[in-house]
Amino acid sequence: MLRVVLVRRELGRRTYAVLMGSSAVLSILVSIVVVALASSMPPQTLLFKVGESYANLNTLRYFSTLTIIGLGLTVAYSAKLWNIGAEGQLVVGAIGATAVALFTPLGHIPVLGIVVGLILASLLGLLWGLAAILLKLKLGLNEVLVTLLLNYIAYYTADYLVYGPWRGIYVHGYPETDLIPQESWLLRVYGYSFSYPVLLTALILVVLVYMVMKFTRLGIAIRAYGSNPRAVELSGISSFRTAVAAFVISAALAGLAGGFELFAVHRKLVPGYKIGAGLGYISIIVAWLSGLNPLLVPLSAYYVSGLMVFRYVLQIGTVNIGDAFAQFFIGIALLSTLATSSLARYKIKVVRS
Amino acid sequence: MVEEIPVVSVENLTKRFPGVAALDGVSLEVRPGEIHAVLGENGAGKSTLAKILYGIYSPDGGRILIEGHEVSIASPRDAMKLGIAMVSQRPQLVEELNVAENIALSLEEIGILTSMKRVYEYSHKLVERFGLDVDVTKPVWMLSYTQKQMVELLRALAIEAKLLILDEVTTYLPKIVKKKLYGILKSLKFEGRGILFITHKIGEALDLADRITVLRRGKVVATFTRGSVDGDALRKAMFGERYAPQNEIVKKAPQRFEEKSVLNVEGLVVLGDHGELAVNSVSFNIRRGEVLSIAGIAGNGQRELVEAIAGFRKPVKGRVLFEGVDISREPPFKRALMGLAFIPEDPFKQGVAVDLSLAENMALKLVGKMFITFEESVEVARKAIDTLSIAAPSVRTPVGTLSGGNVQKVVVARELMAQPRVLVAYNPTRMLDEASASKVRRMIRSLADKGAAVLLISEDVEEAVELGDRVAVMSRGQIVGLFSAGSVNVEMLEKLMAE
Repeated sequence: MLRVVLVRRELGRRTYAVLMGSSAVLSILVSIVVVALASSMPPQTLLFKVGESYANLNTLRYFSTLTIIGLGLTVAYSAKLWNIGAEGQLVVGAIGATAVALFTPLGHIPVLGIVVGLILASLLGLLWGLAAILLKLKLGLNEVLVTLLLNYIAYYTADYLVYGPWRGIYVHGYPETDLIPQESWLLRVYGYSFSYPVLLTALILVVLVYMVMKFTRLGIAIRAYGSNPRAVELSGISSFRTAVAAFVISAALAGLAGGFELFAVHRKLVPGYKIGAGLGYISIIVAWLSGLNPLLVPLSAYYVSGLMVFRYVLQIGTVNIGDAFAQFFIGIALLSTLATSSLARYKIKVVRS
Repeated sequence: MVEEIPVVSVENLTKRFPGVAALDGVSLEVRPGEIHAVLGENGAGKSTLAKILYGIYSPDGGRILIEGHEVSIASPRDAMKLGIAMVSQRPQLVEELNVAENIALSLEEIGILTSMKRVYEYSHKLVERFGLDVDVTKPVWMLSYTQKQMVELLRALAIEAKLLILDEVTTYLPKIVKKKLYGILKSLKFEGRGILFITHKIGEALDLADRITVLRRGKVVATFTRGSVDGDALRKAMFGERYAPQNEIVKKAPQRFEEKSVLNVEGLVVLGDHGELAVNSVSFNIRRGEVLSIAGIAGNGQRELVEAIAGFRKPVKGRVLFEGVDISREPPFKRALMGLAFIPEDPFKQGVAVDLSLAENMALKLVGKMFITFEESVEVARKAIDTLSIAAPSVRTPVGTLSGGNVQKVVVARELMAQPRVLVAYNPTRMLDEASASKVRRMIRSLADKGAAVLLISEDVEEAVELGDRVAVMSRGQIVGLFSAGSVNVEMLEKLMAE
C-alpha cells in the first residue's frame, strides 16, 4: 500500500521565496476559477484585471504602508510575541500626526512639522504597544486579547475626537477634522495615490530592520527570546527589556505608518475604522507570509497590495461585480497562500507500507 | 544453536542531514532475549538510529526488517503497531493527564469507549508487575523526573513491545533507580523481548549488554559479544585517534587559597516546583580558585539550589553574596554580567535558543558588543567547535537539531568562554561521552586555577572528588557533610548520600 507522509525540513530564504511566489500565483489562479464559477464572470477577464492591478502603480500606496507595519510585526513575532494591535497602533499614530499638524504651529512649517508629526505618531503607537506588553510581562495577561481590545479603544478615541472636540468647521457636519495645512501634506505622485517619501522610508526600513535582526545583539536576543528567554538571560541580556523592545518596535512602526497614512492619504482625521481600514490586520498576513524574514516582507506586501488594488479595480471596472465577490476572491487567495506557507515547511513523501 | 530470527535487523541504513551523514551504511540486529547496546560518543549517530526505528526520521537508504519482514516505519504510530516502543532521555507524556490516562493513550485496542475502570486496573497490574512506586491516579505534572521516566517505561511495556529502544535513558536517573531499571530490563530479556540500549557510557554497556555495537561518525566500528571485550578496547573503538589515556587532574594545595571568598551562600531556603521545601537553610562559601563539589542523589534540592544562585528561582530566605555584594534580588542577566556563569540542568529548555544557529547562540554572549558581524559570530562558534569538538554540520545549523551531548557542549562552551569569576555547574558532564567529559573537567579545573570560584553539582561521586577541593554531600535539602577532598573517599560519600 502506498501512503503519503509529510516530513519536516529546513528551508533557505531563497527556496522559501520561490516556493511562496509560486504558491501566490497558484492561489490567484484558484481564486479566479472559484470566483468565475460563482459569478459567471469570464475567467480571462478576471485574469486580466488581476494583471492590471499588479501593474498599477497605485499598489505602491498599499505596499508602502503594509511593508512598514509588516516589518514591525516580524520583529515582535520573531520573539513569539503576538501583536495583533497594529490596527490600533496605526490609528493612534494618525491621531498624533493630526494633533501636530492641526493644533500646533508646526503644522505650517514644511518638513519640520511632518517630521515632528511622524515622531509623535511613532511614539503614540509605541505607548499603545507598551501598555500591552507591560500587562503581559507584569500581570500575565495574554497579549493577543489585550492588543485586540486596544484596537477598539483606538477606534473609539478617534471617533470621539472627530465627532466631538476635533470636528472641523468646514466639514458640513461630517465626523471629521478640517484638512491639515498644505505645508503638512506629503505630496503624492501626480495621478497616483502613493508618495515617494513613504515608499523610500519603507525600503530603507527593510534594510534597517534586517540589519538589526541579523547583526545586532539585540536582534539576536529578540529571536532567541522566541525560543528560550532563559538563554537570553544567561547571555547577560535582560529578557524583560528584550521582550519590551521587540514589542514596542513593532508598535512604533505601526504608529509611524499611521502618521504616513494621515499626511499622505487622508490629510484629516476621520473615524477610526476608516483610518485603520483593516491595514493593521492585513499586515499580520504580510508578516506571516514573509516567513518572518524582513527581506521578504516587500514581496509579501506587494502580493497583498496587488489584491487590495484588485478590489477597487473590480468595483470601478466595466464589469459589474459586487465588492463581496472581490473580497471573496482576496479571502480565497490569501487563505490558500497561508496554507501553503506552512505546508512549504514540509516535504511530501510517498512510502510503501 | 538454531539461528533465531532477529526481532529487528537493519541493513545498510543511511541517513544524511544537510552537510553530514548521520548514519552511513549501518547494519545490526537485535535477537529475541538480547540486550544490544549501541555505544558511541556524542553525535555518533546513535539517536538518529533510534529515531529511524521509531518512525521519527525516515532513512535515506537501507532496509529495516522486523522478524524477517521488510517494513517501512513512517511514524511512531507505525512503530507501535509493529511492536516497537521507545523511551528517550526526555519524557513525552501529556502533563495534564494522569498516569493511567497516559498509559491508555498508547493502547490501540482499548478504544475510546473503554471504561476507565479497566484502564486503571490494567495500569495497576503493570505497576505491580514491575514493582514500581507510582500512583496511577496522579497527574503527570506532579511526578518527579524519575517517576515520569518510569511511566514512559510502563507505556512501552503496556503495548507488550517486541523491541524496546532505550535512548540514553539513564542520563538523569539516580543510581538506585538505574539498578532497578537494570533489573526490569533483565526480566524483559527473559521474556524474550529484544532491547536496543543506546548509551555513551562504557560502564553501562559492559554491565548490561549481551552484545555491544560501537558507532563512530555514523559508521559501525565493530560489534563485540559479552565477555570478549573490556573498557579500553571499547574506548579505542569509540574515540579512535582521539583516544588517549589522561593524567589525573592536579589540584593546588589547599593552603594556597586566599581567605576572602567570592561566593557566599547564607542560610538559603528555596521552594520546589510544587511548593515543597527543597533547600533547607544551606550555607557555604567558595574562595578564589576553589572548586566546591556537592555530591548527592538527584532530587535532594541541588537543582533548586543552583537555580536560586543563578537567579532563576526566588529564595524565600537567605542571601547569596558575590564578592561581598548581595545579589539575591538581582535578575539572572545582571548576575551573568557580574561574571556568574551557569550550566543548567536541561540544555535544550534552559541553556540555548534552539531555533537559532550555533553561531548566533555563541554570539549572544559577546557581552559589550552591539553590532556583531557574520565573521565575528562564525569565529566564536568555530572556537567553541574546536575546543569541545562539537559535532555540527555547520555553524549555521539550528542548535535544536544537534544531539543532546552536543547541545550541552554548546552551553558549556558559551558559559566558559565568557571567562566567568563564578561558575555554577549542574552535572556539566553527564550528557557527554568520556573524552568530552574529561575535556570539560580539565576546562573547569583550569578556570578555577585562573582564579574563578566553582560550584559543581555532580551525581557522579568520582567526578565530585576528582575535581573538588572540598566535597559536600546534600541530602533532603541540607548539606549533611563537608570534607576537604584529601580526607574523603568515594565509599564514605556514597554511604552518606544514601542515608
